Amino acid sequence: MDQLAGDSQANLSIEEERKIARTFMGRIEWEMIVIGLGQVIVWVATWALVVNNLIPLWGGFIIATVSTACAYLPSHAGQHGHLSGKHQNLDWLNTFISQISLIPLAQSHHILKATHMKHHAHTNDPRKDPDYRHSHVDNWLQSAIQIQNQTGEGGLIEVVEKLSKEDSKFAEALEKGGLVGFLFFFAQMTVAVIYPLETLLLWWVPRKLAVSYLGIIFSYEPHKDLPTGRYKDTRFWTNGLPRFINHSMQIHVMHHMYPRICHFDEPKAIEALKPFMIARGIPGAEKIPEKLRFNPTISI
Amino acid sequence: MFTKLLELFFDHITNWGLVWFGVVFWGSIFNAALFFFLGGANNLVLIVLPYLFGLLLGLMGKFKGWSWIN
Repeated sequence: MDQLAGDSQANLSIEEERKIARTFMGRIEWEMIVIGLGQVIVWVATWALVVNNLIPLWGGFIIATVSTACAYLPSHAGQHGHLSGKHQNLDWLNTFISQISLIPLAQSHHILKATHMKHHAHTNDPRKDPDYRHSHVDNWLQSAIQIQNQTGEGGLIEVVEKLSKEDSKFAEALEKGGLVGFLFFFAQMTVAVIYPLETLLLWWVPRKLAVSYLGIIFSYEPHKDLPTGRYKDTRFWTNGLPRFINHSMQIHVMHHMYPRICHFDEPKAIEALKPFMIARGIPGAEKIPEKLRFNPTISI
Repeated sequence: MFTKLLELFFDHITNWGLVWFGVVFWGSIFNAALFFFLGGANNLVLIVLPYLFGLLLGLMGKFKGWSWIN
């Protein structure tokens, strides 16, 4: 890989860029399978411990909030097929693990996958990017609030209706995911009747906090104030915190360049592709450190 | 017949789901909170009041577009 990266100094063509990027694609991202199943196990165990009075509700609330914050990333990997890698016979893993992982967030894999693919196809386009309304705001607080209301007065419905008219497969995916949405809708009401305060503090509040946190680090920080365009729509950013506290979204730009590269391989891919990123004018690329491992990319 | 009923049910939930969510979900939570802070109540008003607040929240959710309540 170092050799490849070294050779590419002189050749910054798109073919060379793709050749290097391809070397990071195709593996099964087992780390995301572990995180996806692990956080659900923690979440369910927290419920069991609280309901049986083995830990206090406030303690369960803290654990559930942290574990729920880790629920989306494995689903995201499943949406992009990272959980099966190049093994087509394992494609079911993507849907299965993603949907299991999304239980604490009470979301449908099919709906999130459909809207996320549209986000990739139309990043920062106000008419077609489903994430536009919580990424193009003035500050992170607005983003955190806006993402909670996106299916209400937030305006996402208009975007989704437009996309559904243009793409029947998108509409089908939403319909398929809608059934899971109904299931979560009734599950929450049922559990709330039996365990009201537990449902509030182990499910509803943690998922609201997690969704706001995810909206800020996944959408607002990487995309705010940026135009459309493959090399212009995402930026490197930092808030000084270690990368893993931000789900490594400081380097989200790598994901938008090559969504098939697994999340855990993005640092190595960035090191190899840094000359291309600088040459293409990706925002912040010239400031990234030579080595990206456990550092918070605070040199930005 | 069953399909038609199912369709009507899903249509109803699509349009009025937030209101039901307000009554059942938030009503149960308000009721539990009231019980937690005031103890058991034999007063019918105190039993019904949390669910009325839930209904009110659900109606606000539907007509003001407050999807965050769900």
